[in-house]
Amino acid sequence: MKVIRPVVATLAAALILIACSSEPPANWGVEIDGEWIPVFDLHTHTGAWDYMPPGFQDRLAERVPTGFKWSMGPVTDWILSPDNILGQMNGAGIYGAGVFALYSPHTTGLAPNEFVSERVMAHPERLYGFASIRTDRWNEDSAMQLAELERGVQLPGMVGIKLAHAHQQMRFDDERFYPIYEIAGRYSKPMYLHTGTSPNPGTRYEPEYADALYLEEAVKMYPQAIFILGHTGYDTKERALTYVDSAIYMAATYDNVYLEPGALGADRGEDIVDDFVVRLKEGNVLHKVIYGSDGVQFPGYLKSHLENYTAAMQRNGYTADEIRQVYSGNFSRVFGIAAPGQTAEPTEIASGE
Amino acid sequence: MTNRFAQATGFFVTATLTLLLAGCSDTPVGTFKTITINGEVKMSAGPMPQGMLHFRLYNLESLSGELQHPLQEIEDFESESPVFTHTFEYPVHVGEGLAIHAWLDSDGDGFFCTPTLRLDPSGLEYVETTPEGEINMTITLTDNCRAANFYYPPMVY
Repeated sequence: MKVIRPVVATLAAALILIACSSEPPANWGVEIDGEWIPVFDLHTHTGAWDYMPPGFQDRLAERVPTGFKWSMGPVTDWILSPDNILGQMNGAGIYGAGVFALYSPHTTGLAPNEFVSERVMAHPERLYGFASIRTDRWNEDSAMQLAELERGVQLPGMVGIKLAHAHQQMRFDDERFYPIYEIAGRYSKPMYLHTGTSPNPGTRYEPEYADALYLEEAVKMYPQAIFILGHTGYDTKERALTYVDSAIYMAATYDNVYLEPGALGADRGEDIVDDFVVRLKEGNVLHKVIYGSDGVQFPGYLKSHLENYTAAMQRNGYTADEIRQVYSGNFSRVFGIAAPGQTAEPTEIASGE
Repeated sequence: MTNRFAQATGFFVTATLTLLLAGCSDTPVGTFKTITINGEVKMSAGPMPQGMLHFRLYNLESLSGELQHPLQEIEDFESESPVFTHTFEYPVHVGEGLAIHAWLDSDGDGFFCTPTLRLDPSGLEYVETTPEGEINMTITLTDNCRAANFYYPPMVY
């Protein structure tokens, strides 16, 4: 029995892999008004089934028939593999993607820095790693963890830092964690910070973990650090834009704050994505929006999220220049990474200009 | 060839049915025990202000290996009185020990501090052993606006 399960699972995964793998497209990006606009996806996840706590495993498996739950391990490992991420990127026309490390044992589990570095270095021209830091025993080991973060951001392929305060149980206004932001600034590694809520078990839902206004003191104290507000305060659990206006205020007010719309293009967000893209446009913050999806989740997710988000922008009067900012211009300006054929130093075009 | 194909098909069907049966039988069941806390909340200094008290219970330590971590949430409850009794189902399968975090909504705004209003005192008490039956806990509110992980694990000096 112990032999049969992995064999069958591997065969199943191999069949899925063969069925879903895709070659790079003829043109990178999305076609807007006859022009191909390159796309970077700031926000994807890698990982492994064995690094996930039981509560998160149960959530992933909740839609799988009971008799097939045993297959979740190998299938999840395959979905989160760099080859599948790259395959989904090819299928969507996405040139490059950020891949996040995680240290969230309360919620989604672990994707250690070394693990992520090795994975992005399989395709270093197209996958960009974000290091993270363990914070659950901060009173005991913060000095050691901060040293590990400094080592992590210098691993091959690492371009930024990923934090998920709501998953890691860190209040945004807890100054004990401010040394993380100092490191981000000192090493010029932009930080992605999850804002808003999450449907994952163990997540903190209170405003002090979700509302970017609680970060204002830190943003002002560390102007050399770049804060990218993940999900732009999207209240995923309630499918509402509860903290979005706070995030837009922060991006409009502070030069070192950016926004990312991860999961707004998912099917769960279909009723609110139009309101969301309108708020960004009317808030004059499109020069601060860096596209991300929160993939890869399931086969075809990167493509469907990109298509949904593109459609929402087009329905709501975004110009080609504004879409270019969101999909590649702002990413390239912040991270210094360009797609083939993209101008090396894209100009910043504020919304409305 | 036909026999081999039939054998392979038979093996595949048998293996699939076996896996399905095995999968159907592995539904995890949690283990819980009923615990009653007789609690009291005190201020570290001065009188207790008026306001609703908000509590959150945790397994003190959960899981093992690299996934081991402190303070896995069990449930929340509230009390208008600093002296309270609360009964809950303790998840034995999740971990061990018990922590109880409390904060007082002293300004009555419903939030555990805002960026500009920092008036709500908080504190935490814990036991390292898995609780049994009825236990007594006293929580002393010492610092404003502090989450449970400010108090546990204790600061190393």
